[in-house]
Amino acid sequence: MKDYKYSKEHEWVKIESDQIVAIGISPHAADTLGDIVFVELPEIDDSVQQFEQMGEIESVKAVSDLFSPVTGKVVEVNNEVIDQPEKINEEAEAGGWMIKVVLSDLSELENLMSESEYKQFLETEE
Amino acid sequence: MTELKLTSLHDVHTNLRARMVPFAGWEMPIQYEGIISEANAVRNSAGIFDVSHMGRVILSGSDASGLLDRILSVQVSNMKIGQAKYSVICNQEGFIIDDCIVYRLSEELFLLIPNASNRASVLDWISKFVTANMNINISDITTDTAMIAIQGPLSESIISKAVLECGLFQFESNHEGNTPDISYLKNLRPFHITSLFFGLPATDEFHLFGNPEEKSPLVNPDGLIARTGYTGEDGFEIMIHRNQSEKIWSTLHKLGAIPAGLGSRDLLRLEAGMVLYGNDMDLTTNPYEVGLGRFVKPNRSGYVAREALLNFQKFPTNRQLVGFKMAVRNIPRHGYSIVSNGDIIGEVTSGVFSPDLGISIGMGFVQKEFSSTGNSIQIDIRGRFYDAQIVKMPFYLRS
Repeated sequence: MKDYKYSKEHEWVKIESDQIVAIGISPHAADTLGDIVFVELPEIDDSVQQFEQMGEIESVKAVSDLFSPVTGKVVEVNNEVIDQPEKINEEAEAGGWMIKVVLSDLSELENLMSESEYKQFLETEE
Repeated sequence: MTELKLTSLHDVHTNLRARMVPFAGWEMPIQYEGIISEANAVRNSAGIFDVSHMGRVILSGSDASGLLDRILSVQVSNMKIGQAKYSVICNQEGFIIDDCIVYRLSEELFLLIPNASNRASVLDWISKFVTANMNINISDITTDTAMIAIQGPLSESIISKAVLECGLFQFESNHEGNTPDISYLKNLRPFHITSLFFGLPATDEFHLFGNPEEKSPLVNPDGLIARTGYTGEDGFEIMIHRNQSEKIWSTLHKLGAIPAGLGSRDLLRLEAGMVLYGNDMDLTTNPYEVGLGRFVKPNRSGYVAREALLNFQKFPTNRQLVGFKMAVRNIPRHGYSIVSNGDIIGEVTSGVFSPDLGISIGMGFVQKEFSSTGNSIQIDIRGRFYDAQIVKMPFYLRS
């Protein structure tokens, strides 16, 4: 079992330690967007709110908002995906992570889907 | 909703797991592996595009060149056999109905390639100028035929291999077991067209490109191959009966040409500074505003748009299509406002991220006084202003 949770906006959350989670977008989302050319992310110490806009992602096809799957404070930003956004297409759930956040409220994770629930969600969405 | 038309290569695309989208009434591949990797393949090696959605119209008869002279923005009657010209089709008010390529296949035989989205309106426009006493036959062969573009620096060598090693086609009709002569390919200059033959017994399907009553090297071939394209690279466009398309596609693919979709085609044409009907021009645009003045020879008697275009020459409108480079990777998209000192001075018509330049580029209309090369402008992207600079097009020129 992978230790990932997913939002309906196709972001994933991975629990790294105590209260720190990494955040990215799902491989499905990256594939749907096509070649990603630009991401705008919050900065270290910024606060993010669950299900509220935290940045922007632009692919050759379209520009869309990024929504934070959790509430908390940003402690790390992956500069690699800012410099090489194609990394998100190549490894959305690994090197393509975007930010790390200290959770304000662990129980918020219950608002997210497990991997199997997310797979089901994708099927119903199609 | 009317059903989308499928090209003869539709199954090939779905087998390659292409992402299919509706485009001008056709279901077309927008990408296979990825738009940027496909664009890179065209720049560095070769890509193949199914462009069968584009119109193919044959005009034949002793009045064909005279009719085209009346309708097209360039003179057709002085074209040499085997030559191609880029042209716009303007209405009597001088506005653009379509842009197209016209090929002269013989003294009395022409091939016209309108955009997919404008095929019906172009045919309709032409028919307005046909009278009963004219010796002309107009035949829309779009759905019976296919068109495959191979674009990129390796295009010529891949076709050579396809001819020499795979026997894909020949350039002579009376070929009898000798090595095919590929000097026809090497000597085919840009904006020229020549015949191709499959060496099969002639059947009806191979009489689409011709006029059996005429004698010319380009009359009654099994297909045509032109050194033209829409990517800024060397390359060819191959027109054949739809039954031959799968064999040609798979052979070129097997020899290293990478399948490429409409997404990379749009990126490549924009880098090459080529305008796209529907994006950068439409029925409200005159050719001078979009930098097509050099393809317009209005001062010819009988040309339908003569008065209107001479008038636009004398009294230009106050807008100009320009190219611009963003300072960032954010993509300027069709319809975004162009801003200077907080005022809206124009509108983006096309934009892409250019892998060649590593930043985003675009085209758009601006008021004339802001159109000088080097001018700083801003693009309103979702409420935020991003810096850009007006530059000379093309953005990319092959070395």
